[in-house]
This record gives sequence, C-alpha cells and structure tokens, in this order.
Amino acid sequence: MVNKFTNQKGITLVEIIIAVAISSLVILIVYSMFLTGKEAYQKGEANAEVLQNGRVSLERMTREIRQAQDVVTDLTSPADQIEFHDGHLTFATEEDLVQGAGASTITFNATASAQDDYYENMFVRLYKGGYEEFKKIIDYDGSTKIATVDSDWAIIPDGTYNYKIDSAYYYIRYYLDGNNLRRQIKAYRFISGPSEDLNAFVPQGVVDEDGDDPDLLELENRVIAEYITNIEILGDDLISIALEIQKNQKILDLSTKVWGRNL
Amino acid sequence: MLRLDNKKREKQVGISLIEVVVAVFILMMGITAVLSIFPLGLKVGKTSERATIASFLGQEKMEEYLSKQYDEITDESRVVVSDYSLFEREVGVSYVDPNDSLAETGSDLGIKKIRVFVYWPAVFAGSEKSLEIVTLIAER
Repeated sequence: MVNKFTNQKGITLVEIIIAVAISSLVILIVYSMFLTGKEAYQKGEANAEVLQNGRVSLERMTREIRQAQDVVTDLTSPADQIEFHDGHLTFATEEDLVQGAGASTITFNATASAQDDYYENMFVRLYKGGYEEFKKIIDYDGSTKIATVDSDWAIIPDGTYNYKIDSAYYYIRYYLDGNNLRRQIKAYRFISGPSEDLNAFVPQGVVDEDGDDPDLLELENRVIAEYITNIEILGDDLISIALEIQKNQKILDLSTKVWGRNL
Repeated sequence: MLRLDNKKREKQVGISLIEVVVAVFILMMGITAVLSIFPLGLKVGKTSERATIASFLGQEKMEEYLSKQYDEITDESRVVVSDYSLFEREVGVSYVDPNDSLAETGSDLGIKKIRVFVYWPAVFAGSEKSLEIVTLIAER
C-alpha cells in the first residue's frame, strides 16, 4: 500500500495553494470586471430609458396642446394633469345603416368620404336597440368605403345595425397613474334626462335643462410613458410643462413651454 | 506516507511563478483598458441628454416669442436658464426684407426674424455646444 505512493509524480500542496491563489486572483479580477460592466450597462440603460420616456411625453403633449381647441383643466396654479379639447381631427359626422362588415371592418355608405384615411383615429359607434360598441378606426379606404377598426367587433354587425361617427368633441386628458403617464380620450353625452341623446357628443361643461352634467364616456386609455415621478403644468395660453423622470438612481428634469395656437 | 521525489521534480517542464505573475499583470492591464470604455459610453449618453434638454429649452423660448405681440419681439441677452444652471439662452431679433429673398435689413418692413440660441458645456473637454432655432414672424 505504502509503496504505491513512493514513485508518484504530482503536484505538491504548496504548488496547489499557489495555483489556487493565482487563479482566484484572476477570477476575482474577471468577476469585478463583470460587475463593473453590469453596473455600467444598468446605468446606461436607466439614463437612456429616462431620456426616452421624458422626450416622448413632452413631444407628444406639446404637439397636441399646440392644436388644442380649449383647455378644460384650471392651470392658474400648477396642475398634475391636463384635459383639453382635441384639435387635430377634422370634424366629421357620419350616420347610417351598416353597409357591410367583417371581423374588424365596417363599410360606410356611398356618401362617406372618398379620401383615404379620412376617418383615421376617429371613433365609430355601432348600435342597435340597447346595444352599442365604440371602436377606433385605424384605417380607411376611400374607394371601397371600408374602415378597419383597432380590434374585433363583439358582434359582427349586419345591415340592421347603425353606425355613427362624431369627431367634434373628443377630449384628451394626460394624467399620472403611479409613475405611468396615461393618455385618455374622453367624450361627453347625456345618457338620460331632457337632453338625452346617446348619439351626440357635447362640449365639456354644458348642462341640460335640469342643470345636470353630461355623462362621461372613456373612448381610449393608454400608458404612453413610464418612470414619470412628477408632472407640473401651468399657464394660460402659454402653457409650461415640467416633468421629473426617475429610474433607479437616475433623475432627469425636462421642461418646455407650448403656446396653444387656438387658445 | 507521502514522500517527495526531488530528483524527478527538477526535470519538470512547467510555468514558473514569475511567468504567471507577468501574465496576470498583463491581463490586468488589458482589463483596465476594457473597463475604461464604460465611463466613456456613459458620457456619450450624457451628451445626448444635454442636447435633448437644450432642444426643449430652445423650443420653450421660441414658443414664448411666438405668443408675443409683434412689437414686443425684441432681443434678449445671453442669460443662464433658471433651474438649468448649465444652459444659457440668447435671442436675436432682426428685420428681414420680404422683397429681397428675406435678406436682413435695417428697417421694419413687417417681418421679423427670431433666432433662439442655447449654449451648454460639452461633456468631453472644455468646449461649448450650441443650438439655434430660427423662425420668421409677420406683423398682423
């Protein structure tokens, strides 16, 4: 048993210790490089993300406020939200029986616009009896009068259903939901009372004969930016918007002003 | 139990400690070089961040001017932007001639040219960066 070990060619304990020491030093260095790289990546990512979200929100809000017809929110003191009457769309009113439909398409009558994309971004109300459904038009072909909506109909309408487009009174509201900036499209109408008309949108602020406010209808609500920790909107016609965007340790302040051309 | 056989070890072919130390040293130099690239990348990001802030500040001033009456549109000397200590803004207003390819002129012919400048220090070196936004405004 003992003899078997005597002729061994091998590595001494000291050699192993030195080898382990050196290799662990190398591993340590490589690991610290990995850590530094990871940190730099996370920092760079946070910086880019913060900048991107801030830029997108500010660009989008200023573009829409510049065209706004009317600002609803009181901005004489700093507000954390803004609601205004959208001024980007052409004022269109269309109403008739559905001429044809697919899973997510609808055909309008012959007098509908011949211009492609004319009804894009407008909302179509589909109704029959007590049933109604609103969909956003994302594409329109002027020659076939076929509009494509953003999602499938709950019920594919036949010729007994009516459609209605009324783009005169869409209101856009930007507000913070936690750290998400949301863009909501709203419309107002009277669903009961003396001015009851489910088919007509009315301006914000009007009241019916009884002094009742119109009912709110949410047409769309989407998150358009993240990591927004604070928002401050102030001003009459010249509206200043200040954003604070934060991800991890990175905080960015962005601000600009916009003069509403129609205000 | 275990006995060292020194004669055998003398003939061993391998890497000496010095060689290893030199190798580790060279490796460390290489790693340091690679690591120094990361802050550089972050600085490039910082450059675009400042350009974005500057662009919004420039647009802000321009919107302010567009909201003014024609008569109120006048020069503004170079000053530090409040809340943004790194940035400075300046506005230059001049008259242009609508009948002479909008060339600058000394007299008021009903059109003003507004030039908004934003200045900020570059992230690299001590140089200065700037941005200019120009528009024309007619008397209403």
